[in-house]
Amino acid sequence: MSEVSLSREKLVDMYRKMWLARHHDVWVEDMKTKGQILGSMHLATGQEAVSVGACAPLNDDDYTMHTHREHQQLIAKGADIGRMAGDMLGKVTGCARGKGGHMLLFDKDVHALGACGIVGGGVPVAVGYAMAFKVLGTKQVSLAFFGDGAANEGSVHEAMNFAAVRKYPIIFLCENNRWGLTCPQHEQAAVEDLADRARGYGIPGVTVNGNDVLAVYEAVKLAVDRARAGDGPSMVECQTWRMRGMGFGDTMEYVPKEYLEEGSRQDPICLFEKKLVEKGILTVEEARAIEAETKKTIEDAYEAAKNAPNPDESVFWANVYAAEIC
Amino acid sequence: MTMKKVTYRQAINEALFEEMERDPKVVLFGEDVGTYGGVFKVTDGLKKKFGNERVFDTPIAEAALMGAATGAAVAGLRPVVEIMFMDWIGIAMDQLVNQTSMIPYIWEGIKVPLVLRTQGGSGSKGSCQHTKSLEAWIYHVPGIVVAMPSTPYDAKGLLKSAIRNDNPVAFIEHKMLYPTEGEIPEGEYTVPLGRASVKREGKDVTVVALSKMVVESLKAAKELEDEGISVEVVDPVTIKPLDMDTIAESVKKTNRVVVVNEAFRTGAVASDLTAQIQERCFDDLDGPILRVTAPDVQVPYSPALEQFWLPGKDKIKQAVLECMKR
Repeated sequence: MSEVSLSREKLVDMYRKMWLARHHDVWVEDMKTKGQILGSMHLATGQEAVSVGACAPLNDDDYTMHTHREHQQLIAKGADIGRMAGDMLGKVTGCARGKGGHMLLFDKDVHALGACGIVGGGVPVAVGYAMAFKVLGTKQVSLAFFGDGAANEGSVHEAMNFAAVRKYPIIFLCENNRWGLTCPQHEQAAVEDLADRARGYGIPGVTVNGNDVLAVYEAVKLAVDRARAGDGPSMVECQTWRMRGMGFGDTMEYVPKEYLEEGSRQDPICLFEKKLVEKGILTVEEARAIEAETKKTIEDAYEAAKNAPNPDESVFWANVYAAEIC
Repeated sequence: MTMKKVTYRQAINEALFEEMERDPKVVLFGEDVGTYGGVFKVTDGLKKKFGNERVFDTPIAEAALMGAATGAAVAGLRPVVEIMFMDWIGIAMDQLVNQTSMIPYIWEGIKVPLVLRTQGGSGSKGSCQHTKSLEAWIYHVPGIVVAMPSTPYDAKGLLKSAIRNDNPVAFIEHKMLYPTEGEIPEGEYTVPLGRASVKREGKDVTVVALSKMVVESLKAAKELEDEGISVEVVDPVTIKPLDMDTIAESVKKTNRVVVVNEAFRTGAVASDLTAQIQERCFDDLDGPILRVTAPDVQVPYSPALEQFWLPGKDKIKQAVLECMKR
């Protein structure tokens, strides 16, 4: 694993967020199995290091754009779990007051804006965030998560080129789990490392082990610093393992068992914990306490959301237009 | 009020100039809008005045343009984005349909104050990919204000309102109107969104016409006057939301309606206006509402063929006469 000199507080916070993210997706998978969550469901169990490593160098006022496999990305950005749970269950306590569901989560308090169910569709919007930061002269940055599938969308190419030409402060964060829907990466792209494409846009690109949270942090931190300094966009590709199906109910017969075995061996939480314990940053007991405490946070949030009121008809009609027209 | 004569093109240019001067958050971007001043010279001089961060040329990448405008609006700017020809809106459509229009509804508390400027319309011998009027596509999607001014006066005042409005506004110009002249006040004025305008008063037939078809309808009305038929021409100006009150008031007086829309017939805005008018005004109607549109045929290049496509003065006259018989 990478060596990064971060404060104990920061490292423990990252470890804690990884557990929150893990418990979240395990918990909602269970609820989905029991029929307690409706609609589709895309889980990122085993990909926690990408989300947490990518968001750790960001400030609350930096904007993030997310994918459709996004729960963990929002948790990593610091989204309120209770409101997330509200949205997941279609309750009025959600940020979207139940209008968006699993694929359109957002939390404006931490500028997680937001998830996107159209593969690659959010990336141009994230370029717009960065445009605003540059024009307004703030030092904020924008970070756009997208997958290896989205990497082949025209919107993503257009967005990356546009941002590169304009030197906007944005990080293109490719969460490459090597599967786009049910097709392996090699059937969708002729390059092995998607970050190789960065050269074609005239921006730096780097590929890192997406299960090494510190490697992700380090690469993204460099990109963030570069963006804040006015040097424009970067691409960071984090190669990871998709340990769940494309969506809930996907039986995954097409996934080689060696891939899943390797993914299990590379469990990002285990790897990080081992490192923290070895370095004396965390004891095993402390780690177990964090594991238990974060599980309870998720359970409590979903228990509260289950009992929260449904949105009423006024919510249905609200904000078709968000402002007066005349 | 002192008035001056300007072209439709100048009117739009003045609106942009004044709003950019008034509000530093207004930015303008698109293909060729900067140094060259736009292919129709509508944005002439703006880059020179406001600089390359606020007025700039972009890559030819309509999805990125639309997405970036959306993100920039979310993050605090008031972008005016130009899609050079409306025929190319298809490339930007995913952003418009799945991001721009959705965000205010789902992401509660987030506004998207942007103006999408584009131009449609035929008569330029532009053939199939530079002449279409696709306003119905945008009109169909909830959450977007759609404006189609027909005069320099409306164009300037309405664009100023659109830029100041906190909703996404599609501002659809007509390429053949750019050189047309009209009077506007010397000083500051605005035209409200969502208000129709009676362009000519009459008592026998109401012609509801959009964009350049208002000009054609006024020509038809003038000729019909000589034949003893008094035509009232109503210009909705903003087609969504529609000022149905003004239209209904006119229909109450005339009891006969022709709707004119330079667009493919099936699923045109004219079809929907017809439906809305009969729903609201059925008891006031003495006969069926007739439509003058283009046929469901691609727009051909040859002037010998284009004439069959183009709706205009003569076809409007014919429809009015037909309407009077029923």
